[in-house]
Formats: sequence, structure tokens, C-alpha cells
Amino acid sequence: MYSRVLTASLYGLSGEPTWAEVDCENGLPAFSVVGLADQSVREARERIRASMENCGLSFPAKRITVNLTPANKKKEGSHYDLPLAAGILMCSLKDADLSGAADLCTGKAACLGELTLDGRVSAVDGVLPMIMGLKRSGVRKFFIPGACLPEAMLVKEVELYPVNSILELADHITGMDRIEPVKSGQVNVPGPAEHVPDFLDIKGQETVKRAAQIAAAGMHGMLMAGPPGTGKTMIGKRIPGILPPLGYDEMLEVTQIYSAAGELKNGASLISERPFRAPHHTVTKAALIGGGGRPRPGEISLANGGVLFLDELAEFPSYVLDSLRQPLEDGFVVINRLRTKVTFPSRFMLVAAMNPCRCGYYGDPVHRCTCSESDRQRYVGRISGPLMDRIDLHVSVRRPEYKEIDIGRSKNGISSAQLREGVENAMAMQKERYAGEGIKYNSRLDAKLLEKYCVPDEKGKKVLKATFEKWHLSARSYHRMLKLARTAADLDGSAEIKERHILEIINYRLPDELFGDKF
Amino acid sequence: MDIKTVDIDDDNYPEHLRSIPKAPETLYYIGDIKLIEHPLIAIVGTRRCSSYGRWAAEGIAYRIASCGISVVSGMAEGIDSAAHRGCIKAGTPTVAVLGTGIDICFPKSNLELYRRIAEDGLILSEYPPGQMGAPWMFPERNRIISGLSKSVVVVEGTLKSGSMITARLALEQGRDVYAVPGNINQPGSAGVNRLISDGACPILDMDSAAQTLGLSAAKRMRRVESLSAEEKLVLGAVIEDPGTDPGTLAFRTGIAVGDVLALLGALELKDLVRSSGQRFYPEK
Repeated sequence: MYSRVLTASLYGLSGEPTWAEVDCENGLPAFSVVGLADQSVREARERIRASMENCGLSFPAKRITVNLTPANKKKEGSHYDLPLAAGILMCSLKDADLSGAADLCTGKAACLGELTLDGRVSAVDGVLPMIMGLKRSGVRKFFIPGACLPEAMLVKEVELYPVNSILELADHITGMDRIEPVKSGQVNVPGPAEHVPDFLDIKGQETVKRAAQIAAAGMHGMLMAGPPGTGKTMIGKRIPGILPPLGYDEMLEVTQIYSAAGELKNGASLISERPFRAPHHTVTKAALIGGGGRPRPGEISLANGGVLFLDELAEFPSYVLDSLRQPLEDGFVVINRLRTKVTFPSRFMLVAAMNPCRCGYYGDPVHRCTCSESDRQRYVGRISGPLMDRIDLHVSVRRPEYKEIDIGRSKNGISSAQLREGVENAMAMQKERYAGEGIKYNSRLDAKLLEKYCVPDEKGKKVLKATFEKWHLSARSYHRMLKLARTAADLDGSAEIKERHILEIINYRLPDELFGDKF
Repeated sequence: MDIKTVDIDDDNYPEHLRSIPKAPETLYYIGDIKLIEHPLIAIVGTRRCSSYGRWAAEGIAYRIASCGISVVSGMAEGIDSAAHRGCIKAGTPTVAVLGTGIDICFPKSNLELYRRIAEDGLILSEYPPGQMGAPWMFPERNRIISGLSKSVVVVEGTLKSGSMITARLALEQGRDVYAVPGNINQPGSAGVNRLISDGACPILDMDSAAQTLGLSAAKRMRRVESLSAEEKLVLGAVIEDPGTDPGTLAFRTGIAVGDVLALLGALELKDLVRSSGQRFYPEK
């Protein structure tokens, strides 16, 4: 007796079609799984047996062999339970009418889900990317756990069969009680969350707010350096709130990543807010970049489309920080394993905060710094030059004085909504300008595109030359300045980079004594 | 080339030159006579200079010229040429006083420099066109070089060199004399080191050269005058409350933060303010 059911395997973010073949023969009762299945798949044996027995379905007392094909690729995950159970059902119900299983056997429909011992079907990770992958290879019908329905609804033009228990599936197969398909594509995008913190809460620090607006408008990396208690963390947390809402395609991409990582919280279907990820500085390299036996997306991919906030940047081990260099540059990260190679997107905005030294008070006019010069150098030296070069905007955050946080003055502070308006306009200018260039934001301009789009007017060129000479800029700093000036011009609604824009950018640098003459 | 003359009785004959002993009756010139309206700074030195002397002359001239002040010299080989070049490099017109007829380039090797100065600068001589140089004429013209200047910087020279004559003449005319200290085992240093021991002011390092020559204050004034009204407003606010942040400045002046930052950038680029981690101080 032979049957087969289409299901999927997840490699990174790509779902690939996989056939679950079941063969039942007479012989000593046994159940073996082949096809490079890992522990979680082989344990399906016990779950399937128990769930079928507990639901009153008879588990065939035969020699059962299961093969997952293509058999040369590793399989991992608990979502093979349901297709395997379906295959076994079909074998054991050989004489009955199996009209309901026609689509499953011919590959027109696919099936995925995990079984509990009492026969219920529970949610699994990665439903969205698996459905999208199968849809690309022509499958249009999906049997999925009922709990995963909201997530699956995001895929347009497919039919979804929510399965809540193995009995429902059995009834569907035998035609006794068909599961009603649900048309996908009806998505309720939740309105903007109300709990997002607002820039209005921050008193003083106008320069840093302005810097945050520029950084957000061009999706530039931003590094804030300053003593503790000056609001660096508060500012970092408010940056997602000044970015424009995600577009549908972006939402889909972000939700796929969260689905594959198993980070879709209960009931959440669509990630509609810009992600904000703030890993603690003890994060491992694999957790930050992505990794594991079956590579899973790391923090940088979970921050895709949003903000990766690294607080206390200098406390991160330097080898972890340096692993950010390639993903920052390319906008994706490739995780290589001996047998597999997985690519995750990593187009995030890096926001980092750090103290100027271990005690935090170097350069503070009031508190005395207790660090020795060599301590300080070691502390700052954890952040390598190449990484600093990849963070476009550097700004120092200083302790506000009383006059700055005085209520009378600060009640007129700028709000996130006001900042976001500027950001949205600037992004619209970039979108129009870079149509057909394959990039969206100024931060992604490479040397060639810089020459095309970032040529200042005559006065601007003069100022740029003077700046270059006064601070002995490196070629890289020069490029960074140009990109930032481009964004400042976009915020200003100016098609040309003018003198004023470059002059403003001069301020976004750290004090010489902190990092040498790095801009 | 267009050769013009100016007589001692003419209105555009520089006042400070008229007052020196044996002031020239007639000056032939090519270029912009307005350059010598105000006293300038002269750099003189030996023709057979060392690479150190050439470096010093060019560097000092560059710094003087960066303050917007033209450098006067004699367009001879060595130090003189280096001084003219340093001035041109900073984009400021330079003034050459020749010891030959106005239309004669001596030495011939300086022809390119001669043309350059004639084009954007001023060439002067008390000798009529066509007059060939004679050994006595060169020391004679030195009185004009110092006469056009308020300070004379001697870069290198032996005890008997023409630069020592210029220094003596400058003192007689009441000009300040500065000297660049030299290595004591080189003959070219003997003159300048003697000048220092006799009371000339030494130029101790390159970075403070302009300050030593009393130029930074004048330079600052000139830069402040050229500022826009908004720049002046912000500068005033920084001077009033040193260590202010851009947010406070924006609040006080009523200008948007982004614009205040741009104005501060402009002021910093002009060396009028200095920033340290978002605090702004007036630059001395």
C-alpha cells in the first residue's frame, strides 16, 4: 500500500516542496522514517500513533516506511506530523472513498501541521514562508493548523483549509465532512499602535533629535556617544516612531522572517509595525547574525525594515560587532553550512549608543572621569575603524543643563509626528530619484551613484573642500558626509545639495579627543 | 604687458612708502596697484637657500596669505621665489619688487612665476623698462620691499647677505623685523641668528607664525565683517554664553535647530567658534 502527500521544508526563508511518502506492508509492525529526517521529525512516529489511537482512528498494525523526498536534504521541524498522518490514513482506508484526498495526492494541495497526543493540530513556525514557497511552484490549496490561519491569510490568491484536529482531516479525506476552504488575501492591517513612545517626552537634546531625523530619513546608521543618563536609550527607542509605516510588501517580508524565526506572537498575523530589536550586549554572534543547525534568522534579520538598537556598543565583544560589517554593507546575510547556504535579508537601520569611556564621564564638564588613558583607549578601541566607517552619522549627546529641560521652554519641543512628516517627505524624494537604481535610501548609495546624485552646487563644493582640508577627512568620511548632506537636502525639499546642507552635517561628528579625527 | 607708472606726488602712491628715506620718485608697475594701499608683510632671504629655508618661507607665506594679506618679496631665486609661491598657493595675490627694469625677468628661470604675478598680483620696479640689472641695484630696491611692509621676515641669510641689508633698512624705516631661527652649523643661518640675538623677534613654530606676526586678530575682524546677519546673531549668542548647545541657541535666536547647526558649521569652518561634543565656544 502506497500513498503520498505534498508538504514543505523550510530552508532559511524559502519553503521548498517535499513529498511525504508512506508505504504500508504486511510484516512485523514497525514504523521507520527515512529521508534525512532529524530528531523532531522521527518523533512524529509517536505523536501520530497516539493521536490516531486517541481519536478512535485505528493505526495500522503493519510495517510502515515513511520517506521524505527529496531524500538528500535535511528535514527539521514538527510540521511533517499532519502530512504523514494523512498518508497513513489513506493507506489504512484503502477501500473507502478517498475523493477528498485527490488534491493532496496529486500535489495540487499541500499539508502541514503538528499533532498533539490527543489529536489536535497545533501551530508551527514558518507557515507563511512555506506557503509562499509552494505557491511559487504552483500549489494553490493548503491544509494548515487553524491557529496559523491569520498568518496564512497574508498570501494572496490561495485556498486555505484550517485543520483543528486529525479527525477533521480524516473526515475530509473520506468525504464525510468536508473542511470549508477560506479565501485568503483579506488582511486587516492593524492601526498604528498607541503605546509608541514619543519624542515629545525628551527634554532638550534638540541636536540629537535633528540628527535622528536625518538618520531616519535616509536610513543611515547612527552612533550616539555621551555620558550616562543623557537620554541616548530614550532617543533610540523613539526612532521607529518617526519612520513611515511599512508598505504591504515590506510587511510580508518582515512577517515571513518572524514566522520562520517562530517569533509571531499568539494571534499576531501580520507585523505591521517597524521592528525594533534591542539585543543585550551579551548576545552571541549566532543570535545576532543568524545561525544554528537549521539556520534561523538572527536579530539583524528580525530588525529588517526597522531599527537594530545596540545600547552600550562598546560592551559588545568586538568579534560580534565586526560580524555586522558585511550585512550592513550588503543588506543581506549569507549563512553557510556544509550542506546548505541560507540568505536572510538584513536591511535595518543601525542605531547605537555608547559611553565615551568605562566610567562614562570622559569629557563631562562636571563629573571627573576615573579611567586611565589606556583603559579609555581599550574601551573605545572595541569598535573597529571599519565598523565606525559604516555608521554614517555620529553625534555626541551631552548632559542637558537646567535651562534646556526647563518646562517653559521644553513644552514647545518637537513631536514624533512632526519629525515623521519630514522623514516621509524626504523618503518620497528618494523613492522618486532612485526608481530603477535598485536602491531606496541615501544610505545605500555606492561610490558610482554618489557621483551621479550627490554633486553639491558650486558654493557647496567650496565648503566641502574647506571642510575636507580643515579636518583632514578620509575618502570614506567624505562619502559619508555627502550621503548625509544628500539626506539633509531631501529633508529641506531641495533637489540640489547646497552649502547649508553640508554646513549642517559638519556638526554630526564626535569630538576629536574621543576617536581621533574620525568624522 | 601693460606697464604703468605712479609718481611720488600721485594720490595712489602708497603713503607708507612716501615717508621712507630716499623714497623712489617714480614706480613702474604691472598689475593691481591697489595691493600696496595698506602695509604688507615682506619675506626675504638668501638665493642659495636650504630645503629647510624654502619650506619655512613657503609655509610662512602661506599662513600670512591665508589671513588675506599679500606677501612682498624680490622674486630672486631661493627664499624670494618660495615666498611668492606660498602666497599664490593660498590664493592671495603677491607683490614682487624687481631690481631690474620692470619688463625684465631675472633670473630667467622665474619666467613662469613672473607671468603668474603679472597676471594676478603686482610687479614693481623703480627702473624704467629695458634697464638691465647691475649688482648695486638689488640692495637698492630692498628699501622699497621693507618700505611697502609693516613687518619683514628674514628666513635665511649669511652675515653679509642682501637680506641683512633689508633688515637694517627695515629698522631704519621703523618696521618690525622677524627672523626664522636656523641651524648653527650652516653659514646661511648666521645672519638670521645674529638678527635674533640683536633683538629681532624669532618665529618659533609654523602653527603660530601668523599669530606671532600679529595677524590673527586682524584676520578675525575681517572674517567677522564678512558674516551674514544670521551668522552674526548666532556668533553673538555663543560669545555671550560660551558652552551653549544648538538647542538653546535656536531657542534664543528663534532660528530652527537645523539652520542653527548649519550656521554653526559655517562659523566653525571660518574658525570663529569651536565645538566640543555639541557645546560651542568662541574661538580666540
